[in-house]
Amino acid sequence: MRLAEWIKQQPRYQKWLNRRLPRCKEVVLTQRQIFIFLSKEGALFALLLLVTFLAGVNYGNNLILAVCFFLSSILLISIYHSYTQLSGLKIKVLGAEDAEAGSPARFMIELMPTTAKRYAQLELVWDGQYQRIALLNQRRALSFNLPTEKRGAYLPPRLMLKSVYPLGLIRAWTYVYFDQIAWVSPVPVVSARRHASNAVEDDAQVTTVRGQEDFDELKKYIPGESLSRVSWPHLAKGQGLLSKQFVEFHAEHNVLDYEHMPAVDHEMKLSQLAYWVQELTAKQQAFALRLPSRLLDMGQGEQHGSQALRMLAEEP
Amino acid sequence: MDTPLSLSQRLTLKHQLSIVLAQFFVIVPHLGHLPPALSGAALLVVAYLFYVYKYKKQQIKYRRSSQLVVVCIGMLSILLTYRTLFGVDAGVAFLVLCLTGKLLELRLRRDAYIALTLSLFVVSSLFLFEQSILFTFFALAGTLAVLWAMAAQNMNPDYISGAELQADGQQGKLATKSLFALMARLLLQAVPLLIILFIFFPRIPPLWSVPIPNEKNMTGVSDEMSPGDFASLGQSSELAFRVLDQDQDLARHLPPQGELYWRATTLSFFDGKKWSVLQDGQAKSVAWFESTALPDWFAQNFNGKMQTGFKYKILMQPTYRNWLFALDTPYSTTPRTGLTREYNLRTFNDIYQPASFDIIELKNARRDVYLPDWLRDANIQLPPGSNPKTRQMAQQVFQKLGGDERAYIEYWLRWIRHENFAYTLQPPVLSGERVDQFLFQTRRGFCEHYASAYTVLMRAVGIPARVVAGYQGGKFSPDQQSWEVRQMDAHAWVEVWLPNYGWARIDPTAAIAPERIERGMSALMQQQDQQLFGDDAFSQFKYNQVKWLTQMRVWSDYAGYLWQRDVVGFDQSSQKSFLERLLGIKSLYAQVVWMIGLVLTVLVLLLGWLWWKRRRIWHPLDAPLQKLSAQLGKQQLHRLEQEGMINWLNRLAMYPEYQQSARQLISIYQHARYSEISPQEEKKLASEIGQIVRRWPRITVKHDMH
Repeated sequence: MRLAEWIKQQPRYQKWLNRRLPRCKEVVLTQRQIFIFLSKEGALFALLLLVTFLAGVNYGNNLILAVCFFLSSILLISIYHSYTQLSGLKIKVLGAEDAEAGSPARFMIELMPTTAKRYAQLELVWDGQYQRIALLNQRRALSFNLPTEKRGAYLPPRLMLKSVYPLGLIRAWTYVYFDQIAWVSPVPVVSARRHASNAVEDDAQVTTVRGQEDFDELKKYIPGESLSRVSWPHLAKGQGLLSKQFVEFHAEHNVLDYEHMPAVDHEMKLSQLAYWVQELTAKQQAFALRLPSRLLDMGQGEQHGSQALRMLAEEP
Repeated sequence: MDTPLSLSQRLTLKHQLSIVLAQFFVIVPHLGHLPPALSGAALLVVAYLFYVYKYKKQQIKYRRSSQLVVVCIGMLSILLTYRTLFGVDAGVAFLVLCLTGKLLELRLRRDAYIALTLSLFVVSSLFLFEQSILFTFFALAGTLAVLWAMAAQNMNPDYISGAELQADGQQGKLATKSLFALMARLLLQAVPLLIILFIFFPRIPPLWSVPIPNEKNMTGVSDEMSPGDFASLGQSSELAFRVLDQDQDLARHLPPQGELYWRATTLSFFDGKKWSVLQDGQAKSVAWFESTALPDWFAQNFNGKMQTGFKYKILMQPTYRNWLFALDTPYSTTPRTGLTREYNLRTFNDIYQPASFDIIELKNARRDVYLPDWLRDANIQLPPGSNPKTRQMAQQVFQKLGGDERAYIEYWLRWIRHENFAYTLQPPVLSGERVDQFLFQTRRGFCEHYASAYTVLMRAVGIPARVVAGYQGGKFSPDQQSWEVRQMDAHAWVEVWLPNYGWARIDPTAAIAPERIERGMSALMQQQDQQLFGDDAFSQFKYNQVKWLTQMRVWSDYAGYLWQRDVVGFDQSSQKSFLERLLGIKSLYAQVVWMIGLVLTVLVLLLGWLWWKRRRIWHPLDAPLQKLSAQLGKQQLHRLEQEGMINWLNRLAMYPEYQQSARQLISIYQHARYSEISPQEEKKLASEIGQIVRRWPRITVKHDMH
């Protein structure tokens, strides 16, 4: 097996594999994609064949030879059976969810038979993730959570799909190299937001970010307002239903600017931005994002937050 | 990252149970030749594992210690029985022991495959001991059981969830059912390949010499004749050997039954109780036919020219001796055969598996016209002072006949015939001076008694004589193509040496029971003789049993013979002649080409068949349209995976060249699909669609129209 590992690391092998199995959105498996060889158990079985053959020859024993021939035929036939476990199978990537660096990205794929056949005992190995399908006779969606490391575009490694059905002696396998990117946003890093005191357009106004409890004034509660805004301490004191009115920060205060991040390093700056994007999204505050390459206009809400994270991921 | 977790996966109870179940078929056929303690241990382990996995549904406890105990017991019993670990018997026993030990540590998938591969070794080693049809079935059952267990390792019902079963429309039992279906399919597909490989795969001579199985309990004529030996053989209908005609016309060439004395060995030494072979080195040495010159003692028998008689072939069953059975003066063309000084045919190696030998009967041969002194002395030997009464009477008769040897020989045959002698397989027990007792008191006995007494009578007056042990007679096989000699045909007779003549065959039993010689032992048994077996009820029962068994034996031996001839004995030369006769294949090269060609043909047929089975089956209305789609695929105008038929046809209708045809198709298709019509109508519409497809304009459209 060390030899197999060694071969796998050879750039020439990788190049050949990339040429033969290029990245794709979907693929229908044919003899071009499917590899077939003895499994480990099959190698043991082949040794058995060799020994029975030698015994048959040396003892001039036709029946031992017949056992050898019978088992060889079975092996030969199971090559075909293993092959049919993969051939005609369509594999398609449905999409990938964005992830934060270091946490897994979810990839959705779909397996679908294109022939009137049932596929048995399929095994999928994708970057250490293992799944098994006992029987496939119709469209089936699967998802894999693949570990990510770095911010940016994450291209998944090859998915290995294999089957040792029916006897475990022959292994048919293929690699699927999906042309599907998962965008990985930077890991958030806490930082103080350095305001643009020495920047050109903003005046020096240091605003500390207030916590959830900070609010400007209390107004009479209007039915329909969120209950989370009710000031329960005042209610407890018998002052009636009062609604907390949060400060609507002025837009200019919430421009998250790449240039204003305290870190020197590019990636670190992005990480710090990610922290603020998540922080402000969690607080339901509006913000705009200014990156060296792109701008995101002032906005608010989950979707806006995701968009901002995506921009951080896509930032070159 | 390709360390699939499945490979290191732990075996579940179902996996383990399937392996243990298969072992019943693997180990049981071996019980016959394993040391008893090992047999017991192996069976116990299998039964115990079966019980624990099946009924207790848990993993075994004390795995290591029970493994240690089993291996110790097994090793001890192997070493005590065989005194070695090498050789076939000990080797196979050791293999079984390894398997048994491995069964106690079935934890991972790897263990399962080691145990199952070992099982297949054990199954095939069965053929080192037995090659009969019965054992072939045992081995087949064992092989299939192991393959079934292998399939079970990869097809676990545990992995098939309820939802998948429902999706498949078959609740439960799916896995088991498809496992059997799978096995049946594999078997059916593998058998044609097996047959092709078996017939065409070139048989090659042994690459190196290998140890052969130890001798087992031998039946048949032995190198000693003690009282009762032949009587017990007389009740065995086991096949001793089979005779075939080299010229394929046995009925014409076979000598008459009364002449069929198949010599096995001469018993020339008498100790007063039993007869045994001469231990003299000169008597035992073998003159091999292959050696350049025939020895003088053999050559001088023919006066320069050999005259050949019956040319036959004997098919020996394993005897674990190097004896061959042949008519009086034999010559063999099979390599590595020869004659002893006493004209016993021998082969170089002991016969431990069925084998055939070509033998020629020499007709004009006289045996030992000149008898060397050492041989004469050996053949007039008697224990001093034994059987005084017999000796005394012999002297008297010899003197009365004036020393005429031929008259003397005749006299005793007549005497046996006319005195009150009887032929029976249940004679009274003799003791002391056995020959005296037999000749003058009991007078009841079978061949060994008569041969022994007669030889003593000859030797008493100095006429060289010896007992010959072998078989007499036999019977045609059911197809009349071969001659079967059974253990019950075992016989002992006498050879007497006469001056100017050599050795002459005398059968004193023929004097008392001529039908035994003329018609054979089995005929004698069927016709007569309750008396032959004794008078009590048990003997009667035994007699009936023997009779019935004999019939069964005849047929099963015949099947066994065909099996032996056509399958087990399908060697290099029979392969060559068979292929030449059948297909005119003359060279090894052609043979290999044929083999590869046929294997590929079978595989291609198989592929075709499976492809045909797996193809998508279209609705009759869709089928012609699908054909059209394939046809238009060249122009990238095929129907897309999720596209409806009508949508696709509408797309085609956008090309002016196709507009008319496409619109026709749309209207027919819509009518056929979406209104209620009879099957006949549907068929009609389908054929209309087919016609339009066939007349589809053969024009390549311009793509920029799209």
